[in-house]
Amino acid sequence: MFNKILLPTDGSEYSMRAARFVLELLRENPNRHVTVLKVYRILPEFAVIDTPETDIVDTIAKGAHIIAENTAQIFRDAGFEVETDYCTGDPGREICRYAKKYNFDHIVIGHRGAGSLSEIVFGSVARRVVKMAPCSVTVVK
Amino acid sequence: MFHKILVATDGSENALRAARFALELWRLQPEAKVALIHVYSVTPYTSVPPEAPFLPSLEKFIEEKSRQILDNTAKILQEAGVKVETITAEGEPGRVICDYAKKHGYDHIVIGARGSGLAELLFGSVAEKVVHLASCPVAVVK
Repeated sequence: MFNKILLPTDGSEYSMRAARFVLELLRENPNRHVTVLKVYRILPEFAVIDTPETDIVDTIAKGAHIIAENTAQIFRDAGFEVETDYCTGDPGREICRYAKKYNFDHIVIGHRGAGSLSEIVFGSVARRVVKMAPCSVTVVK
Repeated sequence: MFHKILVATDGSENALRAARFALELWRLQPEAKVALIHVYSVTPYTSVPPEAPFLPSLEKFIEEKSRQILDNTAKILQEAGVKVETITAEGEPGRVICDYAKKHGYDHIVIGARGSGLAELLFGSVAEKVVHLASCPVAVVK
């Protein structure tokens, strides 16, 4: 338990709270492995209208990278090493797929993300993760 | 990180797993208080007129069943030396668990991903409801 922790982030206040929760776990035992993951969506329309000049897809990917790094900074400021990664797809599904693929034994996720409107309509990413995760999940409020 | 851990149990395999998870949490913070809660709901089908002669025995049956569930789950923690408080309550499980946690200042809830009820298949799991309603972090154990 808590040996390999996956921390999905979207840069929102709730993800930052989740990050601080994981930081406490690291303080308790610095040997835990933590990966900060940002999943970003590329809407099909973006790919269609994208040109080398607009570079939408690339910009979104860069944004995801920045968000993952910003969250990781909380740990680095406290003197801990964490990994960062980012991938594209449906966040709930990708987070669970990632956790399974790399054998994470715990996921810590914020209750609500940045996409509040779509979350209200379709249910939160956290909810999907709780449902589909291969391991235990802590939902931070 | 947390000082009062509330573990929800319905006696299912996942609930026992949740108790083992709570034990690990407690080991991180041995000064934390741990409590177990079992919530039973009396559906319209089990409600009977108050004058029914078998009502006292039904109440007793539910009480005893609840006690058994709590004892079984508590054993996991007690064997490791954790002092556990146990609570039985009646009502809609998701809501009662969250209300209880809030009212008594629990700052962490631990619950199994899926309980034993048929209703969970139809209406979604108690865990999902707790994640939705709780005002503190919730660990959903698989």
